Amino acid sequence: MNEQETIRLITRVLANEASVEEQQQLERWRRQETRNELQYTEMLHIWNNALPGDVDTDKAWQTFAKRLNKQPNVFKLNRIFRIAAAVILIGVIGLFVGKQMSGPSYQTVQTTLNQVKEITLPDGSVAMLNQGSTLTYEKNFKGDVREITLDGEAFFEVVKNPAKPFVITSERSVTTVLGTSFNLNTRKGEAALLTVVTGKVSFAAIASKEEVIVTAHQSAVIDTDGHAVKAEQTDINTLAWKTNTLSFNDASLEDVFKSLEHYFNIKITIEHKQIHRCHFTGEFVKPSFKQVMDVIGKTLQLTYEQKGRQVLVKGKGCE
Amino acid sequence: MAAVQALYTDNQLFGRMCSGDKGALELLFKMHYASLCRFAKSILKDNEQAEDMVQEVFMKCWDKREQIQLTGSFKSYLYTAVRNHCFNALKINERKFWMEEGMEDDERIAVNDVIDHIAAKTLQDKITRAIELLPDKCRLTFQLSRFEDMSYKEIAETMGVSVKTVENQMGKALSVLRTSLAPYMKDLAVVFSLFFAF
Repeated sequence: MNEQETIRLITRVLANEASVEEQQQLERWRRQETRNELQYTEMLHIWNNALPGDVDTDKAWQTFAKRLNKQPNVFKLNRIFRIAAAVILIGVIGLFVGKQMSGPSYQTVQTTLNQVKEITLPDGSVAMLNQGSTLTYEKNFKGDVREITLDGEAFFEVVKNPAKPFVITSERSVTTVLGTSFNLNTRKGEAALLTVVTGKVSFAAIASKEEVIVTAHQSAVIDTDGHAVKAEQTDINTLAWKTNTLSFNDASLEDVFKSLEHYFNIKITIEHKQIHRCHFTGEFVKPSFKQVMDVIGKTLQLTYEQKGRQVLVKGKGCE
Repeated sequence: MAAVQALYTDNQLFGRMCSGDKGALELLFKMHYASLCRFAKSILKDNEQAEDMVQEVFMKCWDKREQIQLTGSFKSYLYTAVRNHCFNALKINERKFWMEEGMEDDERIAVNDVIDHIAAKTLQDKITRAIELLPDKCRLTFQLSRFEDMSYKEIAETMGVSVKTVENQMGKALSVLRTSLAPYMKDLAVVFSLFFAF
């Protein structure tokens, strides 16, 4: 075998193209000389260590699916279908006009990661929508209930109407109110948290059907297992995103950092467990993250490093 | 992926897609997207353009699903469509792509030069770079064989060339890779001789 034939034979074997005879031929050649075996080993090594490039299929599908859903399908159909579709469409419009648009139609409001929106609902109730949240409501509140869905966090001030309950559905919870103000945090994949400021709210878990009645200055959680649990005390900083006030009263740094993470939308990690044992008292109005950390740092002799949304807190901590 | 393939064949999924099943489209997309992107990239040498091209092909398949007539497998239909899109984008035809000879020896020398300057840390990185630097036809053939598990015959059909051409390009690919990676094979030789000493 000449050099070129040898390389072709080895390649055929590697590429799974070789016949049994060819495989035996190669084995004989490999046994002839160690130099041959070295050449084979090198090629095998290259073959085995060649990696395909990384392609993120899931991410690609997400962008592709968005494009797919944007497409007005009617225009992509062929002519006969188009005419048929037009006829049906006219019929459907006729039906709608006949029924005076009686079917429910929905409005969706979405906020980006650095945006808070105030929405006035059809009945005059107000929803303040926190960052990265989505709220959908039935445009005219025509049904028996005022129907809302929420993914994310919002503060509601609900206009009283005992005849028409205000019902907010999210991934885990159904929250029913007659007229009150409260904060609801229901991010997908996380526990749902309700904080009531005034009035009385029913908070029900979809999975376990458990229901708790939550009144003013109380809060309740529906955990990721689907159980509803009432808490007597509320953390006033739950509402910080709306009031722009962070207030700590001899709070452990563990709790302080939780509030900061929520308010500033960051992730705080600590160098030692002892740091969480420290306590802090103080109030900040419209604070910047730097302000808060500088004050806490000076008071408790801590330093911090920030990389994007990741914060590492360093220092000795407390006993 | 094996589990998915065991449940539905490409052509069954294609049939469902034709009747408007978006789930079938998603499965087909997820099964073939990465392979098709690598394939497109080996023609275009541009990651982003390659992904655009493959998404374009899937979009067309979806839009025109009622008109598509399969003659073979849907998989080979996809590869052919991506190939045609890529050649259109490069404004060359496949015959020209395969006919251009003569540059190969110069390219081989260039490969050696460049690899020495690559700050690739691992042997795998070096091999990846060396593959990228292979002449177009070699790279394309090698990638289809190594990463997409295609037989020489399938590669020949996909690329519209003879099996002989595939065989030649495969041999050339391995030979060039071995030459250009020779400096990094020294360690292997040491290990190897130790191994044989016992």
